Amino acid sequence: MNTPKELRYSEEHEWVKVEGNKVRVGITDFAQSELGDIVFVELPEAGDKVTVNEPFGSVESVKTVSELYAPISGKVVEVNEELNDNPEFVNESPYEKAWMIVIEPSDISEVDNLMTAEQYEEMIKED
Amino acid sequence: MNEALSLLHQEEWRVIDQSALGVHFSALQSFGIDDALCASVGSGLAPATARSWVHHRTIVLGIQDSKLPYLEDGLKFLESKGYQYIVRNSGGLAVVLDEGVLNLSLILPEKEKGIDINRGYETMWLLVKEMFADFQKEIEAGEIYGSYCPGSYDLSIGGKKFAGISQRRLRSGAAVQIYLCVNGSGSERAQLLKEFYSISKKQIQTKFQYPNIIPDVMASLSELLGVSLNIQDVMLRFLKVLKQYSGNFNAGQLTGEEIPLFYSYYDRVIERNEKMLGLIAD
Repeated sequence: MNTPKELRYSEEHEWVKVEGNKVRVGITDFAQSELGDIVFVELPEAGDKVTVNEPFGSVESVKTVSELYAPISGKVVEVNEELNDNPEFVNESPYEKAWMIVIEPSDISEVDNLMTAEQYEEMIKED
Repeated sequence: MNEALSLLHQEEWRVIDQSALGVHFSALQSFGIDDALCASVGSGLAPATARSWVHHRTIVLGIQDSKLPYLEDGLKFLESKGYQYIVRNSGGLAVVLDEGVLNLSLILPEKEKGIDINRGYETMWLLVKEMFADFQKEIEAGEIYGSYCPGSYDLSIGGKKFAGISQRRLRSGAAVQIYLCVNGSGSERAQLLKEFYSISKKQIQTKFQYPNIIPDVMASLSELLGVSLNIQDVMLRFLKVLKQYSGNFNAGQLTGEEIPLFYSYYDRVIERNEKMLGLIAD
């Protein structure tokens, strides 16, 4: 299972990449492998507000629909529109092509509450 | 299957029977209720809950259906046939609900194990097998080509599908939902959706593959078992099996804590439905 060391992780299987004063968000390799083939990704619009641990969208696979939970609060400033037509990117490239949203955090220190790669790996091992 | 059995065994099962609420009970309400139950069961506010529900002449579309190139034409066709339509928030493609179709939801806490999707499906399959065990017909799970909303957990007898299962996960709760075609003609329901897809897609090549429906592969339980079954008969079978797996079995409704949750999720379901159907106007 691929868990890049430079990213932070939420208990709801989202990854977070800090890029200056913004964060990029997607779902982890573990999550996509458990969900199976992704057929639809429902995302918010740029300008929408998201709240930590509250849903910001959903991802539909051939097996189930799962909510996506914001790992951090803030304003959505970018949305990956490519996923509308290419939901399979989530399976093929969860950390690169399948980033989902970019958030301008209201409090960047919330990132410190997220897990490190080692902690996340430990959590999914327990699952 | 043992893992599925362990999920069916719950210290307490609460049953919410909404199978006879009538024509004004909207499928949108049903999906809002299951979301509220996922949140309450997932957070430990409520015990594992089974809900039964019936809706009158409603086509429940899947998210991908909202991308059909001529969806507006398809929706007009459904209206002309006297059907309402909504877009559901759990997976899959269009299915037909009417007075001969019983829906069951099992709302389970995810506390025992994180994401384990197949276990939810296996649990529902096991429940249905036990409900109809006395007929001694093998109920198989596996995709039925030519059925509407095909999936790995299509339930069939002798190659004919009578039920489909979907799942939704929210707030540490999982809703496993099944529609059971109890009576009426399975092939007529399938014919309706065949025409819907033909009108909504026409000859356009779409990235997503929509089902090529073969009406004869769908049937109702009454047709497959050779007996006349009604919703109440199947409800009794359902309650009998569930009771045998429960330490404490009780009938209930949404609690005072769940009602505001319902209103909040119901608003989301309505908003989302409008957004999904609104996409067709873009």
